Amino acid sequence: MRRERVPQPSLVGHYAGPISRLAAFAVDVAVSALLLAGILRVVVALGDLVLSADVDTADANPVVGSAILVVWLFLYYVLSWSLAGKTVGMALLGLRVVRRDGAALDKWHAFLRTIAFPLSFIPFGLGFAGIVVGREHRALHDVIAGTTVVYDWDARAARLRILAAGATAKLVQVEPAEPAAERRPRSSSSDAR
Amino acid sequence: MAGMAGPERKGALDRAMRFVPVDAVIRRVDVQEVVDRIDINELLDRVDIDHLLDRIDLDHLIDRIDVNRVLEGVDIDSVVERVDIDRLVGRTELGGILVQSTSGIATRGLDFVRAQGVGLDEWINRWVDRLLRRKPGDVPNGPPLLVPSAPEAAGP
Repeated sequence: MRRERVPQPSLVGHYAGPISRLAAFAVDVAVSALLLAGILRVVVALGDLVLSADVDTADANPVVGSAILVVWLFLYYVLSWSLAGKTVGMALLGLRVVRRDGAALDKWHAFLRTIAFPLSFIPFGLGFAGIVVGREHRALHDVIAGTTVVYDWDARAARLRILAAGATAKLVQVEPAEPAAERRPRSSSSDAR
Repeated sequence: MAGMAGPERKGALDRAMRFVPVDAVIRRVDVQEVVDRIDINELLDRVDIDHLLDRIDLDHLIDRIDVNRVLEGVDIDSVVERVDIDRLVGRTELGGILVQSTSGIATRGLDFVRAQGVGLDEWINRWVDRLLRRKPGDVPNGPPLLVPSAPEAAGP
């Protein structure tokens, strides 16, 4: 007998799976990198303008650069999770971080999660295996911080929007019917109206 | 016969009727005049309509109606024209959904991307559950505060 988990129509509050979380992480990597690049460009331009210093980021100390990156990523994630419970990538993929029991994420747990986040990468990324095989789909940093990630997206409402969009498109394509007054059967003789 | 009792009179009448040509008598009866003398309203007042209707098998009567033929005589277009579509849409949630849908190209794009992710998530979950031989009831769908029917988690 096949044992299948029957998905609920709405999915709001259900544990998020590995693909959605991976896609959200990929978006966050791109967004955070773009934002950092933008900020650094602004800082360099300001330095050029105010201090008349010709700053070249290519000559930057790698240690300093790494430290800036780490600080930036820490701020990106801790502020996103503590203020909104989600990052940009999570918002796009319809995900949200909550506490293990489903309560809203508070600042302390957001901070813990950010601190523990890198630990999931360390053992060859095995810290993320729990998202795939765990009953609650929690990674190592989720277990440490007492959090989990759930869908924050109403799949049922999305389906209605898609259906309505399809119905609207069909209505637009249908030719408007003739008015009732003009629908009388036309006689073969050329009668003046 | 006037002084006879009821049963005796009936017997005498029966014997007399043997000699009466009934057909000839009936032929001479003006049926129209008989009918004209009948008070139809009084006759109908004596009819128990309820009892009459109880004897009618409505199901059998309805089965005899050719609905298709009835519908052929109905001008559907004129009926639909009389429907106030705007008021009808206003009474449903369809209006709100249509408003959202017409301005939600980005929303539809997001919905599509999310749906793909969810579909793949569900596919992976099914295979993992099979590999680990999990029963459907053993696996919670979400945290207990968000998905009330979910069983409590046993531990990390």
